Amino acid sequence: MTVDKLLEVNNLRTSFFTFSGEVQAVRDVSFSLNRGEIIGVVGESGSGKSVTFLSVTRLLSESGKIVGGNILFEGEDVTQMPTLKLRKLRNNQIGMVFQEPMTSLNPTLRVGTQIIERIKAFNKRISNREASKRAEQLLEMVRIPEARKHLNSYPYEMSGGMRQRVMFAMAIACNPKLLIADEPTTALDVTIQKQILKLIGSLRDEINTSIILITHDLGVVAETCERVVVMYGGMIMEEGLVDEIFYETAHQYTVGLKKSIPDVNKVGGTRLFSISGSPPSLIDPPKGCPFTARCDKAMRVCVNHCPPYFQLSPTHRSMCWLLDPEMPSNLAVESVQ
Amino acid sequence: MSEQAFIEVKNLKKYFGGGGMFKKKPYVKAVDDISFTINKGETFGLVGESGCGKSTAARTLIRLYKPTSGSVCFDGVDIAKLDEKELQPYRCRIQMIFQDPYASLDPRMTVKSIIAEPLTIHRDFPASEHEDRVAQSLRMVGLDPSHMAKYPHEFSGGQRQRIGIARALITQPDFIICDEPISALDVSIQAQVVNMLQSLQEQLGLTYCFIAHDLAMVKYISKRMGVMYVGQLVEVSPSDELYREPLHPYTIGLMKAIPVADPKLARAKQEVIIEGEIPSPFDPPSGCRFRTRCKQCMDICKEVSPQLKEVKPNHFVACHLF
Repeated sequence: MTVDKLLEVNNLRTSFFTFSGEVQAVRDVSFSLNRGEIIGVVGESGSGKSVTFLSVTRLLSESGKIVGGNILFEGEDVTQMPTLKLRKLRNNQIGMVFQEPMTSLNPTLRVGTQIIERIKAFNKRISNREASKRAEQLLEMVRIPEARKHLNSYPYEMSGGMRQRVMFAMAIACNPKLLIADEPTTALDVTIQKQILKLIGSLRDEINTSIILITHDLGVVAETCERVVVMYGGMIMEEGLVDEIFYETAHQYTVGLKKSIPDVNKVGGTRLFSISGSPPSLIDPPKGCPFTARCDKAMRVCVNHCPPYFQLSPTHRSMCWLLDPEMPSNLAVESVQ
Repeated sequence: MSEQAFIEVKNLKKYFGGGGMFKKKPYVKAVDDISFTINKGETFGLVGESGCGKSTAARTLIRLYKPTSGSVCFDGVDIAKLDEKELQPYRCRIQMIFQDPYASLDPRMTVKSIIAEPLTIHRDFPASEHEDRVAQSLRMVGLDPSHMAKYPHEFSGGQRQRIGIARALITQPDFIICDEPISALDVSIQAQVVNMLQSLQEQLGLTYCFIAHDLAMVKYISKRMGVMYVGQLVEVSPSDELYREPLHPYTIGLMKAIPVADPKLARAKQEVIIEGEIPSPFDPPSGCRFRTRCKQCMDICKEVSPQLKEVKPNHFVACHLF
C-alpha cells in the first residue's frame, strides 16, 4: 500500500550487549504503519515486540543498540537523528503508554502536576492557568469523572484503571501522530480492560492518531485492531489484516496461539491445545525458522534455512516454508522431530 | 446435590482491621457472608475483579487467615474452629499454588530444598525418603529429577510454576488452592500448565479451587464456578450454564467484557459495558453491592441485600430480579 505512510521500519536489527554475549532481540524486522490506523503487535515475552518499539523511539537502555536497518518517521530516519531533534520528536509526535500504571507515575506528585509537566515539555510558553485548563480537558477526554477534582489527586488515591487513563491523558497531551501502547490492559480487570479498549478506539477518532497496540492477547487484537503483526524470536512471523490473520492463518505459530486460547462458547471436555517447549534463546538464535523446535510440521529445510516472506495477498505475508509454491505436498507431513 | 460435599463453606466472613486505641476503626469486609460447596474431585472456579475478595476467601478457607465467623467443613470436620495443633494434619492435605512463580520460590534455596520443605515441616515422612519423593514429585510435573540441585533463577516462568506445583504435591494433598496460577505466564505456556493440572487431577483424584480473572480459562478448567463482587458471591452455577446464560447483571457484563479472539464475532457482539469501578470494601453500598453500576437497579436494591437463591437446578443467583 502506498497510501500515506506515517512510520516505516526497514530491516531493523536491535541487539543487547551483555556479559553472556550479544542478545539479538530484534532480527530483521520490516513493516509500515499508515496514518489513523490501529495495528496490533502480538507475541510472547522475549519475542522482541517491546524492543522493536523502544527502538522506534530510541528509548533503549544503554546496553541496547540498533545495529542495522532504518526507521522512517514521516520520511525522516530516526536512527540518525541528533539528540535534540529526537527529543522534539518524542515530545511532539509520539505518545507512549506502558503496562504498569502503578510504576509509570510519580507517587510523590499530584496527577495534575505530572500532566502539566508533560504539557509544558512541548509548549514552553503556555501559562500555568492555561496548562491546568488543558490538563482538565485531557482528563475529560479520557473519561475521568470529576476531572477538576482529580487533578489534585495523588496516584495512590486512584485505581489501576484510572491511573492508566491518566497515562493516556499524558500520552495524548501533544496530540501525537503516533501512540504506542505497550500492554496497556494487561494489569487490568476485564471490565476495566473493556473500558480502556473502547477509549483507545475513540481516541483514534477524536485526535486522528495512529495507534500501535502491543499485547499478548489475541482477543484484544480481534476487538480493537485493523491490522496485526505476529512476532516470535525477534522476527515477524506473519502480518496481515485482522480477518486474514484469524481466518486465513498461514503460520504454524499463529495457528498454535489461536488454538491455545480456550473457546468460551464451546462446551467443556476437550483438552486444550498447547505448543510444547519454550521460545528459543536469542543469544544464539536458531539458523533457520525460529519456531522450528516447537512446530509440529517442521521439515529438514526449516532447521538451517530461514524461510523468506511469501506474499499471500497485497496485505498478507508470512514466513513459513509450507507456503512455498514449489514445496511438494507430500513433504508437508514429514517431521524432523 | 447427589455428590458428597467435600468442602462446605457456610456464612464465611473475614473482616480486617477494626482495631484502634480510642476509636474503633472501620472494618474492611473483605469476605462478607459467603457459602458454597466443593465436591470431591471437582474443580471449583472463583472469579471476580481485583479486590473482590476471591483470594481472601480462598486463604480464609484453608485457614491461612482466621475467619471472623462462619464454618468451613473439610471432609466432615469444621476446620474453622480447630486450633493450630489440631489443624496440623489438615495442613498436609491442603496445599496451595501461588500466582507469581518469581516471588513464590526462595532464590537462595535449591529446587530440592524448596520442594522438600513441606516434608521437613510435617515430619511424617522419614528424611531418607525425601530425595525419592522430590524426584517423584518432579517427574509428576514433567521436570527431570536431575534439576534438583539447581536454583530457581535457572528456570523459565513456566518451569518455575511447575516447581511450585511439585512443592504442593509433595505432601500428597487432596485439595489444592490454585491462586491465579497462570496469569503470570505466556499464552502458549498457560495451556501447558493448565493441561498438566488437569492430568494430575485425573491421576491423583485432586480437588481444586481455581482462582483467576481470566474467565475463559476458568470456564475451561472448572465444572462449577462462583462469581464474587465486593466480598459476596453473586452467582454460583455450573460453568457451561454460567457462560451460556448468565443471570446476574454483573455476570452478564463480565462475560460480555471477555475479548473474543474472533474479529467477526467481536464486531457483531452487542456492547454491554459495566461503567465505573468496583466500590471500596471499606464502605460498600447499602443493599445490593452492585447497584451503583447496575443498569437495572430498582428501589428495593438500595435497601435489601439480596440472598443467593436457587433459580434453576444448581444455579444460584443473588439478585432481586429473580
